[in-house]
Amino acid sequence: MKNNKEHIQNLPNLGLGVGLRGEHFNHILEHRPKVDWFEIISENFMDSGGRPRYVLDQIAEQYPVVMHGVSMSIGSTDPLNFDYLKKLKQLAIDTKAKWISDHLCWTGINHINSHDLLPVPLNEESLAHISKRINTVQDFLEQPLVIENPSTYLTFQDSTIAEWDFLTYLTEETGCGLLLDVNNVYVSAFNNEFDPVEYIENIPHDRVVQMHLAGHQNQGDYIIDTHDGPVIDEVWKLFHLAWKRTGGTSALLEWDGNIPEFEVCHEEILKAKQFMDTLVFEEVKNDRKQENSRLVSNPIDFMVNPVSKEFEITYGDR
Amino acid sequence: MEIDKPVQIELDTIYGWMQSHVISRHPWDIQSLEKVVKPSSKLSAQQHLSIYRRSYFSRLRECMLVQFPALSYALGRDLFIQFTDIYLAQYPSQSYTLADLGQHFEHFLEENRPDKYQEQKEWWVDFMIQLANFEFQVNIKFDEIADENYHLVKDISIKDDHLNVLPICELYAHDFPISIFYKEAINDKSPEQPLPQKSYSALIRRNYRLGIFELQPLQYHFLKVLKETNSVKESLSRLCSEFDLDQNELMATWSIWKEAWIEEGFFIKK
Repeated sequence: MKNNKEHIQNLPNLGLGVGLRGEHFNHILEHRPKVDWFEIISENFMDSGGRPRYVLDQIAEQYPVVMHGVSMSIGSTDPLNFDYLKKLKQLAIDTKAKWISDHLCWTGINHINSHDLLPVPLNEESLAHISKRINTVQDFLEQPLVIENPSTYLTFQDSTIAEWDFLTYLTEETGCGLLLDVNNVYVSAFNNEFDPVEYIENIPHDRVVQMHLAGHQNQGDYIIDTHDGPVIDEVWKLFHLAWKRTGGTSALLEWDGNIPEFEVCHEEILKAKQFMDTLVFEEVKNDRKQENSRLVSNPIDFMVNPVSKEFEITYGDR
Repeated sequence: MEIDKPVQIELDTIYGWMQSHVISRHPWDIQSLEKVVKPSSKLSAQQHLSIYRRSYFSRLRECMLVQFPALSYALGRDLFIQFTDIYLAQYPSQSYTLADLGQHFEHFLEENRPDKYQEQKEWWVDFMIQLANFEFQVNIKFDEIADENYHLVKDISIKDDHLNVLPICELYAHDFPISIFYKEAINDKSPEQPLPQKSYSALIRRNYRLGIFELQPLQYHFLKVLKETNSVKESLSRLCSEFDLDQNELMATWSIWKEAWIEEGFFIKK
C-alpha cells in the first residue's frame, strides 16, 4: 500500500490529453497532431485484433497512453473477472500505459452487465468491500488503480459517508489514485444536492492523478452527463479550484456524443490553460438544455465500433 | 471473510433490487422505492431511479442500432426497437464488452419468429434472420484477431500454387441478396426488401479494412474448396467433377477470375 501511494504520487503530469475515438483515427494517423497524450477506453481494445488495435499500436508508439475502463465493476458483489483483468494487464503492458483507471461503481450483478456506471451505497460496509477488491486488483495488475468519481443520479438511503470522504478512505485503505472528473462532481452535486466546492476542497489532493472535463445537458430538475458538448463556465471554475488544490495534474476532455472534428476536441481541452492559474471567460457558456428524452449518460459511441462506416472497398457483381 | 459476509448480503440486496428496477420491462414495486432511494427537493425517488432506467434502454438500443444498421432499416426503427427491448429482457448482456451485445439476436429472432407455429413459413422472416446473422458476422470479422502480416499478391503472372486466400475471407450463401441489401442500406440507398433469390458473397478483410464481393455460384464453390485445400489445382479439379464442367473452359474462366481477384486483393502469397 505504501508503495502504491508513492507510485501514485510519482506519476507524471502528462499535460492536456484527448480521448481516443474511432472517428479520429484517420486524422491522427495522417496529421500526427501535437497532443500531449491519449486516453483509451480499455474495453474497446483489449479484445481487438482489427483496425482499432492496429491504430492504437501506432499511436502508442508515438504518444503516452492512459487506459480508462468502464467494466471492472469494482463495486459489484459478483466475483472479480480475472479473464478481464488478465486482458487489461496485457493491454497495459502492450501500450506501456501510464496508468489504469476505472470508476467507483458497479455495472451489474449475477453476471449481468447493464453497461452503466451504477452508483454504490456509500457506507462502511461498501468501503470495506470495495477496498478489498481494489487491493486484489492492484495485486493482480502489479500497479495501483486509479478510481474515478462517476456522475450519479441518486442517493441511497443507506449512504452514510459523503463521496469525497469515501474516496479519501479508499485511497488511505488501498493506496489507489484518483481520477477527478470535475464535470461529474458538478453533475452529481446538482442531482444529489451537495456542494461541489466542498467536494473539491475535501478530496485528498495529493492522490489526484488525472482530471476529466466534459460537457453535459441540464434538463431543469436534473443534469445528464452526456459528454456531447463544450465545458460550461461553472465546471471550468471547479477545474480552476481543483488545479490550485492539486498543483496541477494530467487533464483530459471527454467528448463522446455528437463527436466533432478532432481539432474541435483538442481546442476545447487546450482552453484548460486559461483556467489553470486565473479564471478568464472569453464568452459565457452556461448550461445547455436539450429537450430529448433519449439523452444517455455515458454515451455508447465510445464503446461500440460503427463497423458499417469502416468499409473501404465494396464491389458489385462480377 | 468475517467482514465480507454481512456486506455481501446487504449490497447484494440493494444491487439486486436496483438492477431489477433498471433493466426490467415490468412495472416497479413503487412502495419500496423510498426505502432505498432518497428523494431530493426536485425529484422523487422514482424520478431519480428513472434516469438510470431510461439511460439503460437508450444506450443499449443505440448500440443495437449501430450493430444492426441494415436490419433496423429493414424492420423500421420502431419495430426494431420493440424487438430489441424484448431481446434485452431475454438476453441481458453478460459480457464486459458491448461488442457482444447482439450476439444472440439472430437466435432470438428465430425463437420469436411470428410464424413460429405456422406450417407455411413467411419468407420475409427468413430474410430478417439471415440479415441479422450477416450483420453480426461483419461486426465480428472487423475486429477479429487474424494475421495481417502477409504479402498481398499483385502480380497476375504468379503461379497458381503460390496463391492463398486472405486469412479473413468468409463465404456466404443466402436465400436472399443479403449482402447487396446490406451495402445499399449502409450507404443510405434505401433498398426495397428483396424477394427470395439465391445469392453468394465473400466478406474479406484486407489491411484491416472490410470489403464485400458478390460471387457467382461457381466462384463461391471454388473459393470454398480453395479455403479448405489451399490448392488452386485441387479446387479446379473438384469444381470440374462436381459440376461436370469442361476443363479447358474452366481454365479459361479461372484466368479471368484470377486476374480480377488479384486486382481486388483477394490473394496472399504462400
